[in-house]
Amino acid sequence: MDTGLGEFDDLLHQEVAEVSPGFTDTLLNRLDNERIEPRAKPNGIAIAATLIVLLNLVAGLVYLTQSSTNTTETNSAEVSDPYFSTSGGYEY
Amino acid sequence: MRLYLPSFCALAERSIEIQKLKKGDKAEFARFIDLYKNRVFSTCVSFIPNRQDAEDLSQEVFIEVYSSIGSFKENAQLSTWLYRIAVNKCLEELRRRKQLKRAAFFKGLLGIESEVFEISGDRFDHPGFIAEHKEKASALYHAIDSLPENQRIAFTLTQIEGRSYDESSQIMGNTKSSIESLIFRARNNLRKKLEKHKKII
Repeated sequence: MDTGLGEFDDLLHQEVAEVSPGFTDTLLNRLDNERIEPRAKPNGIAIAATLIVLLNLVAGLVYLTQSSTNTTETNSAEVSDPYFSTSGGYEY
Repeated sequence: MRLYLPSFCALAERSIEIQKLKKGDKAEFARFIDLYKNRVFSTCVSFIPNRQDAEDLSQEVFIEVYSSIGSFKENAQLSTWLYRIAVNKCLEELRRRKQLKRAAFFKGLLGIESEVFEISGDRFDHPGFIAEHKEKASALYHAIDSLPENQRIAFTLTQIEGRSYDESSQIMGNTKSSIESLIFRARNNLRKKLEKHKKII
């Protein structure tokens, strides 16, 4: 095979190398010992259901955070400055 | 019609084999390993030219196949899927090694004593070369190692393993013409690198 690499050409193509004897047994033993099993195929419905639950949780958290912020803001507006008039400026 | 019957039977048989593999049939998996172990090992040793490391990596490839066979879509050949996993595993390992080397280099610069680690795959021990060719082969593999990733994969699959452009393009998920172009560039780069090596010698 001439790939244009000169003296290195002869070194390129290698015959299929062979694994050590016992390769298959070692591998099968590993499957047993490490309890490796085929993973279940991802189920579209299960993924969609999980996503919906997660989205609901996030939406719930956002709602709770916002409502607690609003309550704090309302409370602080009520007590923070008794002289402040909403019609404009400070009243003394 | 008679002409197509054997190929139809072979397809049906393959489909049954795949279904058995998907159910975790160990006897079928053992047959599958025996059928492909040497080709997978050849692929691994072409990327990581060290017998022990390539064999360990081949084991990881088959474990990945066994555990993720459920996600195999039967629109591609099982062997193509297997070789794609093998190539990806080799690339992951090569990246991991580069990261380790980089980390050790920076630790050395900062004077931090790091654990002395040695990656056996850095020692050239390709089972396909006789002793008198090992030095030259090591230089060649070193040059291939320094190629950009895509050029390296295309070159290794076609020029070292002798796979067809069609099969290589399926494994890499590229078109045949892009494989040809990658090999052309890889050859040019290798020629330059090996010229430098010859001058040094």
